Amino acid sequence: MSLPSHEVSIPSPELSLTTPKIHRLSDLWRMVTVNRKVSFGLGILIFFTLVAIFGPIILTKDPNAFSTDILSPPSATHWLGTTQTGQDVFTQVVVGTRVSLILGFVTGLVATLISVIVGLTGGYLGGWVDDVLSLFSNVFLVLPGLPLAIVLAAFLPYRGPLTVGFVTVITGWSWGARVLRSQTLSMRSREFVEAAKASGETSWRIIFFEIFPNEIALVAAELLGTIVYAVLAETGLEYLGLGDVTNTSWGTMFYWAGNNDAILLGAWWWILAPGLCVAILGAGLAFINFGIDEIANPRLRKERPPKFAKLKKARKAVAE
Amino acid sequence: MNSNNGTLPDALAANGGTTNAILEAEHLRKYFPIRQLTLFGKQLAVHAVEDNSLALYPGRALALVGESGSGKTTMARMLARLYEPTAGTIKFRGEPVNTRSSANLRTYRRHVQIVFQDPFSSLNPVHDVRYHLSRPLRLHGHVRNAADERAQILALLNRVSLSPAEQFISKYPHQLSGGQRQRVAIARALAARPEVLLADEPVSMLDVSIRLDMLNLLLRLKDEEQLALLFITHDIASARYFAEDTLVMYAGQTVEGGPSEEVIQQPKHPYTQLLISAAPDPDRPSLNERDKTVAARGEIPSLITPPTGCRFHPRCPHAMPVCRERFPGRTDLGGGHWTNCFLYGDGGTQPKNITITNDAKQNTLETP
Amino acid sequence: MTMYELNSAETSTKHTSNVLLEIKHISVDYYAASGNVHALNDVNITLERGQILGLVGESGSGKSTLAYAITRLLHPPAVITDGEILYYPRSDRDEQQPRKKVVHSWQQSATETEPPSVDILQLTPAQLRAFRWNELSIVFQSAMNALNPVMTIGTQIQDVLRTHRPKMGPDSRKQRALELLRLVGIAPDRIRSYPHELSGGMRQRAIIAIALALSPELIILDEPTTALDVVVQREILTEIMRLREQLGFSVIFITHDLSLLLEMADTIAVMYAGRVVEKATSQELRSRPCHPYSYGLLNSFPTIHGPRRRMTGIPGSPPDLRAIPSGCAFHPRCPCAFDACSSVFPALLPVSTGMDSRRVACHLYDSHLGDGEPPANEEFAARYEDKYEAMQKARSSNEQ
Repeated sequence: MSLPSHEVSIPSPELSLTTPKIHRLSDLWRMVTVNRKVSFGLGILIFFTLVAIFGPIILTKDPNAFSTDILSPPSATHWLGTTQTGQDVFTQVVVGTRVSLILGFVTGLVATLISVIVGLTGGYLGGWVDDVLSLFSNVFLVLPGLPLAIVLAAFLPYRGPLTVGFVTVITGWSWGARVLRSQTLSMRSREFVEAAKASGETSWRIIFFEIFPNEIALVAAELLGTIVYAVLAETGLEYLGLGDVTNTSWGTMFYWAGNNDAILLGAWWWILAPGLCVAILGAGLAFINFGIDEIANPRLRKERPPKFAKLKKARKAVAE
Repeated sequence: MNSNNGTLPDALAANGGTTNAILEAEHLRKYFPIRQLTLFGKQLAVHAVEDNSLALYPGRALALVGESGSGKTTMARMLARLYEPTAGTIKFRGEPVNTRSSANLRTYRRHVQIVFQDPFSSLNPVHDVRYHLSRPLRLHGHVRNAADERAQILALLNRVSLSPAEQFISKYPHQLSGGQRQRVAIARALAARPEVLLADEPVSMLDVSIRLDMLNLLLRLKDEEQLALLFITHDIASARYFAEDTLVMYAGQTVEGGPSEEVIQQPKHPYTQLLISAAPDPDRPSLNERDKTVAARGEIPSLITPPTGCRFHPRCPHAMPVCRERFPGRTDLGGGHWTNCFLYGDGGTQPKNITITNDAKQNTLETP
Repeated sequence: MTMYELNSAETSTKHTSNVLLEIKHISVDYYAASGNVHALNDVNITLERGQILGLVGESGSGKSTLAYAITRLLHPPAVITDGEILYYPRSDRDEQQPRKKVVHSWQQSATETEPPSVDILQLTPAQLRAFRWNELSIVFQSAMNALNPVMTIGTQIQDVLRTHRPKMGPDSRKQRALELLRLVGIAPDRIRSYPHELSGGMRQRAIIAIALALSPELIILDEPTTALDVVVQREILTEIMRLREQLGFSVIFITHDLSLLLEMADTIAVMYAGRVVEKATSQELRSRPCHPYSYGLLNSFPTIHGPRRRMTGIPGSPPDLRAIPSGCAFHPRCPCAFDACSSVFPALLPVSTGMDSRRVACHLYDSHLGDGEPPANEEFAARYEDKYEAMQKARSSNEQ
């Protein structure tokens, strides 16, 4: 039963995640550049993307070329040192960026897509559809990633990016689905959804044209989170040797470094290079996520009072 | 609306206008089951609406007045087919509405539209005004091409006095004030070209000084297009201003109904009297004269385990034993005015001729 | 008599001063990246002891902001940029020791002739804590949600007592809590009820009980009955009036519903776009509103009894505070506006000399700028009708 209530005269921000008022590309640009977290994270992301696209083209060295400088620390010829077999670590890292990035992004995207479809459909339709989809999500949620990966790797004849990607997608979609489902459940009872129903819209149209646009901020945040998860998960799985170890990626670098006891031998550069890359990429994506949070939820924004000095003066004046 | 066959009583028909009801609700009930964890035990439900009948006529407004828990919003939602009634029939132009098929539902929606209470949440924040208005136009096949659509949208905006219309087409809801949003909501409802407009507390969340303008807009639309309006409100004064007929509900049951002026100036049911005396009335002398105020006792009952019989009986100063046993039939008081109250009879058209006063001092029945 | 028993005899003793609260030149700004919004602009209000002051206005009028300013609950980006709020504590109240000490430490200007006053805006956090709830309490707009859902209402009342009266033992606290519940009309056995077990009206009463816990001098009610049904609203208001008579506190009642204030308030201040535009007693306002906005507001409520006629309300809509019209903020909507209204800002001045209590901010009453006699009610009605017709014509010509 709706009770009458009056418009509040004090501006009060909404409590839930809202889609920011982006209607033109210029709005988007302004929002991105004004928020420092987003620009910082975006900078990192762009950096790695450029490295992935142009790095292997610019570099002349072959990452798999053996050389005689075995386990040599960073020097002028080998900027990040060499591996056990004399391969240039720097080249490997640059080439590996492409593989890791593509794998991470694609699996993140696929997992998010699945979670959007499952979450939105279950949340809106309710009833037995929701019960079945929830059951699915919950089952996949509790599946332990690592043992599952090992078991799958044992059974699947093919070891490579597809395996790793497959496992990541399977373990990565359910959390987002649950979040989106609960958000859709609360959206469902919003009046504009009822109004759309009263206008005569079909369910599909309501889900994807009325409800989904309101959840884009959430989906974007979830996408980034899933990509971070994907990159980390895949790196970890490749480290275990479940990926294609002949391929060069950050994870396989870890694999070889681990296999050849790099730490014991003191070759810190071999581990540090891919490790830093993963960490920095993850941090960059996380920063973008925080920034999106701030944009979408006005309460988190630290409204910098423009004339701080004037404020102090005004307060002083009152005190006197 | 004392109608079994959908025609107006003679007194009202004499005032002109068509005499056949365009939308009728007959003995509607709505129970909302409560999901419980226990396998055994009775299924609990919220008894939101209990046996409510009403009829809407073209060019006339009916006000549905009640407090929270009265079931008025549920009635509106049922008439808009957003909820399915648990029992009872809804008839459009005399034909029962069959909502099994979605095509039928779509057709029904073309004829019956609803405007919601909260202008801030009834518009989708990510879509502009053009989108909001073009959807119903397209859904109900009123447009031929893009140019026609734009022309029709501009015409709609002008009809709800949002002018100059070109300025409003590309605005988003957050760029509009509360009153403007509500007008867009009304335009959206009108885009379907309905014959019936259900307005669920359309002005409660608007600033006081613009409420009358909005009500006058709805009245103008009603006259121009002979719309049948259902006006849901908790404010009995605006019901009097706006609607020709008023129906009062309490805790899901109908209590009294008839021409607005009659019901409000000569309220018969004790609850209606309570409601009118509790409403703020600047014309009445100040609060210190408490003699005139009806002593309010008790609170609105729970709808999960409502009182038996007439749900007002725990609070009624004139309750009788029969009030607890069953709900009274509709007693016709003449001139379209009716009430459900054992004080006046138990159905039929021979009301008992009594006057009740609910003064705090004298809680007595006076029989002339 | 116990030490904490409400002593109604106290209210009849001689007061040191009749004035309880003086709001002087208060201005509040909201800082936003796109510019400052002036939520309140040079507001001056005086409240006497035992008086009910009604603040009425629509969205953007600043009435809630004023309430928060008085209680110093404004957070950045809202900042009080100017003014002072003087509170005159009663020096003849003999409650327990700690309070007396604080009162004495506040006294800034305790001279022979001037009663001691305190600027609320200058209080230190410690003084503010002693001040709040002892002298001043506030009931918020959605007060029902202000109750902690996991604590019983008895615990919540006793919480207040525990905080502010550390010397009270648990038994006396419980007694006081029961007393308060009885006072507001809640059955004493509900002391162990949780908020969700109470109806909306009872929760509101519980909040009022908490507000009364320390017998404050001033209670601010910010739209206390907006979310309640009309019957419950009537009960709560009657309750507040009764308590006021019994305990003698002052009330600032903030609402958008002028018809309520006409029944309840002694004095009414009408606010528009962050300023006070009229101040009058409720009888005066009802019979002869001076400001065109007041007249419009009075006639925005359909009546239950009285003639059934077409009403027009006030044309236009309340202003956006980011773009307040020049001169008098009401002039675009005003049916009596003339040239000076769009350029010269009207100050809040007494309506006629000698009658200081009745004030209005309107050029119609300015002997220099106004043209002739200020309009009577009938003329207001006629002008509003004309303006309405003109707007209708403008609209239909726009449509063509």
